[in-house]
Amino acid sequence: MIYEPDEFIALLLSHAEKAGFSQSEVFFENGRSSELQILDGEVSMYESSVLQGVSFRGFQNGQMGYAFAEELTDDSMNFLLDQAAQNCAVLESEEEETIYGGDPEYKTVNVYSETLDRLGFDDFSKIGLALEEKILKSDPRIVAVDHCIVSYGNSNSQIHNSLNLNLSHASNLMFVYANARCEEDDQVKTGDAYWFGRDAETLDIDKLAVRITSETIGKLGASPVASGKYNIVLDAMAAADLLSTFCAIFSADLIQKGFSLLGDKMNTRIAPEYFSIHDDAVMDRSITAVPFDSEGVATQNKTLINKGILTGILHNRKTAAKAGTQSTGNGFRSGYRGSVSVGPTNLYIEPGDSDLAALLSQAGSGLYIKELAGLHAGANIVSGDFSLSCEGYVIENGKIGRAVDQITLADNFYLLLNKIQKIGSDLYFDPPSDAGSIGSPSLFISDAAISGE
Amino acid sequence: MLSEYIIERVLEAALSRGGDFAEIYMEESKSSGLSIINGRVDNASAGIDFGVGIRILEKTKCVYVFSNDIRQDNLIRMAKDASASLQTIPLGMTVQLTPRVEFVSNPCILAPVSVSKSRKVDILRRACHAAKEYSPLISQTSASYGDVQKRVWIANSTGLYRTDERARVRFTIEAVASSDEEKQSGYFGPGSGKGFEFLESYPVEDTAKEAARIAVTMLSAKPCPSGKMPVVIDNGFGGVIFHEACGHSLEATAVGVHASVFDGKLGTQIASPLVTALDDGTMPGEWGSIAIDDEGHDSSRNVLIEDGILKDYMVDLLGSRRMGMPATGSSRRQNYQYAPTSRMTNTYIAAGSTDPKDIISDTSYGLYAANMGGGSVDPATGEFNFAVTEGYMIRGGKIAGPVRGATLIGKGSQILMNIDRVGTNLALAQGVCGSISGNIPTNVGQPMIRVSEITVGGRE
Repeated sequence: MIYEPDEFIALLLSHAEKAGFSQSEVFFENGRSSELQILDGEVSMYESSVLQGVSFRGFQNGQMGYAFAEELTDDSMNFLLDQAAQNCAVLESEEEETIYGGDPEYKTVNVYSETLDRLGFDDFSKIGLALEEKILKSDPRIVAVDHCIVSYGNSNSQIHNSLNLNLSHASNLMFVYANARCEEDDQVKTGDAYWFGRDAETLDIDKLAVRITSETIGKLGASPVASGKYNIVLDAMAAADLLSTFCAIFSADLIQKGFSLLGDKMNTRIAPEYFSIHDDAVMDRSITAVPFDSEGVATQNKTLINKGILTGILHNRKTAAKAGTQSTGNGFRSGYRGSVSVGPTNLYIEPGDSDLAALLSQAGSGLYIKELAGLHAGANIVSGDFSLSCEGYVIENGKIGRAVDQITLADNFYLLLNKIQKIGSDLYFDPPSDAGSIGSPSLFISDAAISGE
Repeated sequence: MLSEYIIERVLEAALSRGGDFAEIYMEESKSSGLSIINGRVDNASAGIDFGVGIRILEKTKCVYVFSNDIRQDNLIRMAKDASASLQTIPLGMTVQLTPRVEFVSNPCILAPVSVSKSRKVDILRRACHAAKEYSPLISQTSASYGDVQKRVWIANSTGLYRTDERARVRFTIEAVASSDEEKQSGYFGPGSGKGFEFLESYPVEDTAKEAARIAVTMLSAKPCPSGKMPVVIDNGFGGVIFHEACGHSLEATAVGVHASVFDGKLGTQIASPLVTALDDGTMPGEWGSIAIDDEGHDSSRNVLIEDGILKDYMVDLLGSRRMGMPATGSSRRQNYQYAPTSRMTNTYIAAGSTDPKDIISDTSYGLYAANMGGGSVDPATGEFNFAVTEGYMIRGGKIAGPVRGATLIGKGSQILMNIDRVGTNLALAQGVCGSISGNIPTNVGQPMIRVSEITVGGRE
C-alpha cells in the first residue's frame, strides 16, 4: 500500500510514540523540476521529475537518531523507525539534540511565484533557443555553445513533530545558463554566465547573451603574468565563490569540534574596521528568504563580523545548548537525506561605496581576477590556506588591460581578510544552494601571491 | 517490483508519440553512514533511495523523466508525456523483453546491511585512536564510514532486461595537527567495491597514522614557491592528474559535441611515448568496477592511450550515436535522478620501467607531490587545476623540506607530452567523481611520474 503524504506523516508520528521515542519529528519534502538543454538549434535533452522524500528523527536513550526513505509504504515506515532506533543506540553526542515546539511568530516571506510555476516546456525551449542563437550570431569567433540550459524547480518542505509543530515552506526558482566556446589563432576559450530568478519578465535574453559572449571573447589572447606579489581586485562573483568555500568557519559546530580557527577569536579583531559580514535570513536583496530553519526556529538577521570584530557565529539548537545560548535559527538540513547541521541563510560581506572603476583605479596596476577554479580541492577550511587557478585581466593605469590565464592566487583566508584595502558597492549573490546564498562585493586586496611564468 | 508486462507497456508508452529507443532504470539503494569526531559517535544515518527513470532517444535527442512514484498509471503517464515532448512521428514499436539476466558487480562476503552498526563504529574508533596517539600535536580527529547496497533493473526497447547488485564500503580519516596559531590536516579515504570484509582486513591504524603524519609534517611546512618547475607526482591518488587533465576530455560527453581538446585526435600522438593509459571497469572488487554499465552493457577494459598514441574514447549510447563509434560500457549515473552518460571507472597510467628512487635522484630541483587532493578541468580547453596536500621540495636529487599550499595548473595536452619519467610502482586510489550524471565512485591511479614543467601555484 502506498500512502498519501499526510496520512503517512500522521501514522509515522503515532507509531514512533509506540516504538519508544519520547520525541519525534518528520521532515517531508516534495517537488517538481524540469530542465532543458539546447544544442545546435534544437532541444537536445529534456528532463522532468516529480520527487518526494521523508526524514524521521526520534529521541531515545538520550540521543537523536535519523533515517530517510523515498517511498511512502509500510516497509518504509518500519525501516525508518528501526534504523532511527539503531542509530540512537550507537550515538554518543554529549549535548542532547531535542525537537522544538515553535516560535510564537514567523516573518512572512514570498519566495514562490505561481506565474512562474505555470511556465512549461514551450516557454523554456523558446528562451533556450533564443539564447543559443543570439550567442552564436554575436561574434564570428564564437564557434559553439556547448551548454545552454533552462531549468525550473519548485519545492515544498514540511516539519511536523510530537510537540505539535506544523510548518510548511514553498519556494521555486528558474535558472538560465549558457557556456560558449570561442577560437582564435589556435587558442580555445570558454566562458559562461547565468540568470536566476522568480520573475521571468526580468530575464533579458539579449543582455545575457551579450554577457556570455563578452565573458568568452574577452579571454582570447590570454597568457600568464610573471610570478610575484600583486595588487588585485577580486571580482564580486569570484569573491562570493571564495566566501562560499570558507563561510563554514562561522559554524558553531565546526568551532566546537575544533575545526575552525575562529574558536578563540570572539570579540577580537580579525579584519579591517571597514569590513563587516552579516547573515540575514529575510533580506530584500536576496532571492532566497526563509522564515524558519529545519528545526522550526524563527530565522533572524545577525552580524558575524562588525567593523572587523568577530561578534557572532551560527548556531542550531544543539550547538546553542552546548554553548549555553540560543539557536540563531541556522539549523538547516540539506534536504531529507541530511541531518540537521549548521548553515548560513544569506551570508554576505557588507558593500562599501566604491564602484568597480574606483577599485581598479585605486589598485593602479595589478590584476583584476574574474574567476577562481578548483575551490573544492585547492582550499583547506581548517588551515585557511588556499591556492586556486584563476583567470582575469591585467590592471594598467587603473584600467582593464589584456586577458590573463594559467596563473594561481595563493593565500590564507584569515590573512587575506587583513589585506583587504577597499570594498566595492557591487554586492552580488551566488545562485542559492543547499548551503544558503552567499554574497560579496568586489574587493581590492594588496600583496596577493600570484604564480605564473 | 514491476512485472515484465508492465515494463513492456511503459516502454511502449515511452515510444507512443516519438522516439526510436526507450529505456527504464529502476533502483533500490540502501545506504548507511557513521561518523566519529574526537572519539565520540557524532552522526549515524541510514536511508533508502527508491525510484525509476525513463529515457527516450530520438536520434541524438534525449528525454529523461524520473520519479519515486512507481504506480503503473503514473509511469505510463510520465512515459507518454515524455514521448510527446519529442514532437516527432511515432514509429509504432512494440516491445518484448528477453529473459532477465542477473549480474552481481560486487560479490560480498559480508553484505554491509547485515553488519551491526557497532562493528562499523569499531573501525572508526581504531582509526581515531591510532591518529590521536601518533603525536601530541594531533588536536582533532574525525573519521567516517559509509556503505551502499544497491539493486538496479535496466530494460530497454531492444528487449534487453538485466539486473545488477552493487555494493561499496569506504572509510575516511582526517587528523588535525595544531600549533599556537595554525592548524593543518591530513586525510585518507580508502574504499572498495567489496563488502564489509574489505575493512575487517584493512590496515586501518596504518592509514590513520599516515593521515596524522601528514598533518604534523605540514604544520612545519614552509609556503610553497611559485613558478614553473619539474614536478614528481607519486603513485596512487597522484593519478588524479590524469583523471582531470585527460580522462574527462576523453569522455563522449565532451568529444561527442566537439567540446574536447582531444576531438579528432584518434591515432595521433597526444602524450609522451612513455604513457599508456587505461579505463578498466572489469577489475575485480575495485572501487570503480561495474559488471554492467547503467545502460545494461558489459563493462570493459579500454586502452585509451598506448605508447602516447590516442586509441579510444569512453563512449555511451548517446555518444556512440553522435560519434559513429561503438559504446564502450562506460555509461554511468549516480542514481535514478540522472540520465546516464559516459564516465570513467578505474582509470590509470600503466606502470613504466623507471625505479621511483631514480626519478627523485635524477631531479636537481623541483616539487615532489607526495599526496594530492582533488581538482577540476574544463574539457574544452584542457585547463586543469589540482591541489597538493603533501609536498616537498627536491634539491640536488634529494627530498628536502616540506612545503604547503601548492596547486598545480596547466593544460592537459601539454602535461601529457611533458611526462618524462614513468615509475614501476602503479597503485590505485579511490575518489568520487562529479559530473553531469552525478557523483560516482571512480579509481584514479598511476605509478610515480615526473612532468618536466608545470606551473606551481605557491605563496612565495
